[in-house]
Amino acid sequence: MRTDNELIKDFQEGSEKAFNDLVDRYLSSTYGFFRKFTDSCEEAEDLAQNIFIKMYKALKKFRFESEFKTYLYRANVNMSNTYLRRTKWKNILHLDQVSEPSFVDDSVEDAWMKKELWDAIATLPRRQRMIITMRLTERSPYREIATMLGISENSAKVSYHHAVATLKEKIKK
Amino acid sequence: MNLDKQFKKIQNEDIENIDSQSFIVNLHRKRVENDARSARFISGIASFCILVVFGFLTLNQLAYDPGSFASTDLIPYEEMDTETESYIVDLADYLIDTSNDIWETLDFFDKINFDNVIASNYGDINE
Repeated sequence: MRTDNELIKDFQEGSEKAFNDLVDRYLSSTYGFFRKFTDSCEEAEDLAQNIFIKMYKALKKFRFESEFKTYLYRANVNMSNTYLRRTKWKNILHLDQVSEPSFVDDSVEDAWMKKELWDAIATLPRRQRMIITMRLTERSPYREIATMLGISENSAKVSYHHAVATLKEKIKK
Repeated sequence: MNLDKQFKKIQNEDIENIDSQSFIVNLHRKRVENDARSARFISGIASFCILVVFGFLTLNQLAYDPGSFASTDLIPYEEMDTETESYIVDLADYLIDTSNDIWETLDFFDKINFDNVIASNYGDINE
């Protein structure tokens, strides 16, 4: 099986198929990442498409300084952060009062609880929001989170616990 | 809501599969649409900038103030200065009063070649 870097090199030399293979390889993990906090599969698919469109442009200048997997994961986290921030504003401005969550295989109550939880996560400060997202969606170890955010492992742990405490407070209300 | 339970539920959530072939087709269609949209936007901005620059350069190239091209024959119109105008008006009044004949007054202005006086206000176009 060809490695990510080989596929990227082929893509940089003009092979669209190499890019499609790369998308195929990471589609389920990327889609799964977004599906955990979006209301619908269409929304998750839309976010995944936006990520791969960004990758299409970015990979042409990719310098192989980091692994593609890490690069993609960082892009996913940033995209989720933007999405949750948008959710926060939507909630503040009451723009999504009409829509109801339509999670597949979940009961309506579960769906509402999930929505309530992600709405609460959206209100957290940026760093806490990113750490919670990484822990919930990928179960990322603290060391990986710390490297990605450029902070110490202890700082990541403390932020996570602060975030959980804040969430408990918010949900109690 | 039990937060820990909810966390575990999200972490263990089964995600439905996605059809990669149709995803890739849609991805490239969306990418091409995005590219076309941004190309249209950039060409629109570029056209606007070119129009502004050419418009500015054209206005700067005009020999006369563009406001002077108000008439359709494109002869630059310049107003008679106030002093000459009041002199001519007074002269015309005086001549009409004294001669009691407007046609005689006009004939007089013809004789003194007053048209040339007016034309001289247009610059050298009649010369």
